[in-house]
This record gives sequence, C-alpha cells and structure tokens, in this order.
Amino acid sequence: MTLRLEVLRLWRSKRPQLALLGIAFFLGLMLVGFYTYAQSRTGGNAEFRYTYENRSYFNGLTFAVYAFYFGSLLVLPIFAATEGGVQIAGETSSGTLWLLLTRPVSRARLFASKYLVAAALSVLLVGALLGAALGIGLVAVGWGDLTLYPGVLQMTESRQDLTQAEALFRFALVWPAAALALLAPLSLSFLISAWSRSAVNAVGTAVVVYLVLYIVSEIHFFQELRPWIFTSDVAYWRGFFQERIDWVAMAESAARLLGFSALFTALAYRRFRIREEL
Amino acid sequence: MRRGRRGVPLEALLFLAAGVLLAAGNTRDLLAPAPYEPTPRREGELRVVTWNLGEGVEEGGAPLRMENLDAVSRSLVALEPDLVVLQEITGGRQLSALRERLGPGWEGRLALGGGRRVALLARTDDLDLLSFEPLEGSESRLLGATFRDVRGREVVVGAVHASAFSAERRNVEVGRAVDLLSEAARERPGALAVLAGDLNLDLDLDKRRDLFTDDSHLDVETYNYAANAFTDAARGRGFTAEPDRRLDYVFLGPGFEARAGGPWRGQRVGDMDHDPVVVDVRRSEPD
Repeated sequence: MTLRLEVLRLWRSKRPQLALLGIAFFLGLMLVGFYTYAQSRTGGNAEFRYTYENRSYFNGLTFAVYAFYFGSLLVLPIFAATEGGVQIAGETSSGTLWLLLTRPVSRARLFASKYLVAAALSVLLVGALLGAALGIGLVAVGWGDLTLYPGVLQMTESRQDLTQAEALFRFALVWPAAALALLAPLSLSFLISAWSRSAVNAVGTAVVVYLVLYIVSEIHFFQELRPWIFTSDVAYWRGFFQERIDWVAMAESAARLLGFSALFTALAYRRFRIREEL
Repeated sequence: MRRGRRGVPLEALLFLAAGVLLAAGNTRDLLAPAPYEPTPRREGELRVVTWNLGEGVEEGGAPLRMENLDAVSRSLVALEPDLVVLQEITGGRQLSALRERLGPGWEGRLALGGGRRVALLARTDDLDLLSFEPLEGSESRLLGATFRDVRGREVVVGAVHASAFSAERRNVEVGRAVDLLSEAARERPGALAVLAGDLNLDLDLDKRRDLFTDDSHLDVETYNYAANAFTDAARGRGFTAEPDRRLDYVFLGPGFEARAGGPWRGQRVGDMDHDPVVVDVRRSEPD
C-alpha cells in the first residue's frame, strides 16, 4: 500500500516526465554536437594531418557511447539527486511527512518505500537514456562496429574493436551496471534530504556535492583521494566495452559503489529514524 | 508516530553491508602499479631502452651534463641492452663517451644539428642510417636507422623527441616517424620495427583530467595514429617523467611483443626528470 502510494505520488509530481524531457533535450544537443564534430574531423577541415578518425568511426554506436558517457555522469546524477532530495525534505517542508507518519506505518517501511521508488525511477532513466541514445544513433547515423581508442573519453587503455552484435550485448550489460552506479548519488541525496527541511536546499546541496566530488575524482592532482570518493567509480561500466572484460575489477568497483550507497542509506535512515517531526 | 528502537536491525544491516562491500571493493591497490624492475633478459629477447637524459629544472630544461655521464652509463651497462635510444644529447663528444663506457661492440648515430639531439646506440657492427627528408625545425628530433643485432636479426628503429610545446608539431613529428618506420619495415619483411623516444604525449587512462595541460584531447590523435600501426610496449606501467607524466614510449611493429617492460625508477642523477624505459622484446606467440 505504502509503495503503491509512493509510485502514485511520484507520477503525479511529474518529475519522471520532466526527467525524460531533459534526456530528450540533452540527446538533441548531443546529436548536433556529434554531427558537427564528425563533419569537421572528416570533411577536410581536420586540425591534424595524422589522425585515426574517419567516417566509419563516427557511427551510431559511437554516438550512443558518447551520449551515454556524458549523460550518465553529468545529467542522470542531477535527476537522481533531485529525486532523493525531495523525498524526505520535500515532504518535511510541505508538512505531508508528519501526516504520513500519523498513519499506522513504520518509519522503516516508509523510508524503504521512498528509496525503492526513487531507485526504480533511476534504473528506468538509465534505460531510457541508453535506449534513446541507441535509437537515435540508429535512425540518425546508422549503427556499425564499435571501435574505441585510448584517450577518447578515457574509455580504454588500448584500441578495442567490437562487432555490432557484441557491442549491443555490452550496451545491455551497461544498463544495470550504470543503474547501480547511480544509486550512490541517489543515496547521498537521501542522506542530505534526511537532514534538511527544505527540498530546494536538499536538492541544491546534493547536486553541488556530487559535482564537486566528481570534479575532484577526475583531476589527477587529487588522485590520492580517489579510493575515498564514490565518484571515482561511477564510470566503471566502461569496462564492459573492453574486448576482454576484467570481471574482478568490475566487481570491485560495483562493490565499492554499493558499499558507499549502503553507508549513505544507513546514515540517512538513522537520521530519519530518530529525528523529531514537528 | 513510530520512533525509537524498532528500525535498529535494518540500520545495523545497512551499516554491516556497507562495511563488507567497501572492504570487498578495496582488495587491490587502486593507485600506482608495482614499479618495474629489470630481470635477466631471456634467451632470444632483444632489450630496448629509451631515455631522455635532459634536466628539467631550468627554464626550458637543459641537455645531458658531462658530469652525469658516468652514472648514466653505469645504469645502461647494468641493463645490458641491445638498443638504446637517447634524447637531449649535446653532440658527438657525449655520444662517443657513452659508447666507450658501454664497452666494445657498440655503434652510435646522432641526429642532425642543434645542441639537444636524438641519438641511437646499438650492439652491432652494422648500423645504417635510414635516409629521409628532415622536417624543418625538427632535424635534431628524428633519427632512423637499421642494424643487425648480435643474433643477426634485422631491426628498423625510429628515434623521436617530439616537441614539448606544440601539440600540432608533435602530431607532425610522430606521424612522420610512424610513416617512415612503417614504410621501412614493409621493405624488410620479418624485421623488428621499433619506434622509441620521448613523444611528449601523456594519455594514461588513470590521468583523466589534468591541471598541467589542455593538449590531451589533441594528443589523442597523435597517440592513436602511432598505436594503430604499432604496439605500445610499456603501457600501464606508470609515469616516466616528472611531474607524474608518461611521456616516453617504446612502440613495436607487427610480429613482436613485449615480455616485460616499464620505467626503471631510481636511475636519475642531478636534475634529470625522466626515467629510462626498458622493454624486453620477443617474437609474438601465434594465437
């Protein structure tokens, strides 16, 4: 009952629809950027004489990789942070949380319902981004084999050649892997939300914290901090685009991300469990 | 409103899961790979060394100092290499001094002009320069040669010291060397092709974004042009130069592979800022 109510409330909030619109807008921009970039690199205006880029490289699967890379690391975490941020803080500021807690429902069940609904939405958004990127790539550019080069989006250390069929299978593996990665910023936003009484503050803080951590983990200068920051692993799904997948490394990254998610969720739940609602 | 101790088991379970998962996810060292230490070369292998011997402290750096020659040659003698590619050599006097210290059986060649030149030393009595049109402004930075090693194998080598300050210039210098070497290797079927030197490209996967340069997206073009033709033999072995950059490479042509290799730490003297990169080359095993 509680879970169904949360789903209904989420749908009525129109946040899922807005997130899908945001993804569509982002992919539209990505398509324009990809097209103009490919044109400049293969249309005789190349900046460099010696290059590896050619027309077969810029196909629909490459577009999907580029779009999903930026979308999953920079766009989806904002939606996840928003969802987590409004779940508790939003209900606190509007006074509805107090009303919900007057019903014969335990805090554990209420918290779990909210978390499960937000996590399910995150999984669906990852799938929507991935599916739309592949669909647009197919319709607008056309698929082909997938070749990845060292240095490009830091996807690989050595050139990787995947057939179209193999690449599509790897995209299917990327969906759950990237959804798992999104749980960490979602859980972090739940933690912030549990401490906040304003949805705007909770969402803003969660987005800022994610972006700061992501930037820090990306800059080589801070490499010693990487083991302590969950954003160091959020792009671990790139490992599925290697010809030979390093399953141990993938499992370790997934374990770290799940560990951070569990830690943030535990702290959020603890705060939610003991705080006063007045 | 239900508060108190009712949700404690769930909370404890979450904390326990966090601890177990974080511990499970940190069983391997996430930072630098284990440093490379040279081991005795195996029968039939060819040992290649590339080393930028310059110093990086002064503005624009400085070439090899004469007072560092003894230490440098001690490191090289300890490695027992077959082919040594050097950068930042001031001229023939330094090269001759190094060759003498390496012992008998070595031949050397020096790039044209300038006070900071590329040089080659090979254990052979049969070292020929490859003729090619020098690039204007890069005469001292590119050098090609062929030789037969002590086992009679033909080796084609391109030595490069690419521009440190222009990604476009690096692209031309490295791209030209790749083309030259590919062509020379095609004319000599079965020969080992080696492209080695300080390419001034820093693209390690672990590097991600860098505060020190905005050229990495441009250098991707150059690196992959070389990596499409040759195999990066010391990939994944960590930095080769200060500050924490991988600039020095050994690329191998088709039919050969690196059994072991990497930057050998602890060999710098004075203000030198590069480690020697060592690679033991063998013929590829058929798949």
